[in-house]
Amino acid sequence: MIPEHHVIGLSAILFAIGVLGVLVRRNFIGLVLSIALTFNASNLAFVGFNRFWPGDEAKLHWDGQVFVAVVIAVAAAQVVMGLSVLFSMFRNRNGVDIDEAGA
Amino acid sequence: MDVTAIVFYTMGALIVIAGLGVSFASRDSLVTCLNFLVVMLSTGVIFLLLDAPMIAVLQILVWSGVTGLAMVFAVMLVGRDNRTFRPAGIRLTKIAGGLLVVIVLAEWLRFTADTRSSLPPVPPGYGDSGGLGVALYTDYLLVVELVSLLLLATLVSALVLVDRKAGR
Repeated sequence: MIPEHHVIGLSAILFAIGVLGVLVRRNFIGLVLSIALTFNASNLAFVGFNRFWPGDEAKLHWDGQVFVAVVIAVAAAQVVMGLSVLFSMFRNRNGVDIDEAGA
Repeated sequence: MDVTAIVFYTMGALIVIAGLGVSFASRDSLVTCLNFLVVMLSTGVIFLLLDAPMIAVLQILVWSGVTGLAMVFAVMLVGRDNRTFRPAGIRLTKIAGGLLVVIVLAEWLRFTADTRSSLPPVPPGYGDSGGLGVALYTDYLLVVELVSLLLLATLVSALVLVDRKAGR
């Protein structure tokens, strides 16, 4: 069987990779995908904790999975906004370099 | 070591390798997108192992289906050059981000020290999509409605941002 702390550890490592990617990336697409990695890490932790405390037959717990459904919807909205910002950036500046966009 | 564990560790290794590819592979934006698709599909398999089939379907539909393909489309629009990284100077954001990583990993070590047990047996009814649906539309109805409002606002504002005439 899978130990619980391995699930949470995988989630923590994925979160660390995502945050470091946000710090390192300068290209817009890499940045948005790195943020999506951190969302995915939190989803993994939510599902893992929900599986760890599933409740009993009388009262099952669904809180973690409900959280994940909401997070997926919010992250989809974030990606859509990122895409439209990417389009306007590309049209007005002819490039998607983040550091130049701030200057 | 049973089949579940073998699949879990294989998918975990795939997630870490492809995640490193998303964050640090520098050559090509398209490679970044394909690595991202691998991460999302492997996470879907792990959700199936953790008895969350509905979440696995949502994951694969929304993340790989919508987000991954939208990103491939964006790569087609803006070009595949992805070689630029940020300069190596130390800034406040980097310090804060590094601190965040250290905190998360320390939390994991503390959790590992406290809890070293396998997953409990599945109670009957857990993993049915019906139970999740009932929870979504009774206890969490307000949250679902708020999320639908958010998606509507996102749709409208994305259209306004992209439309050339309506914008500035």
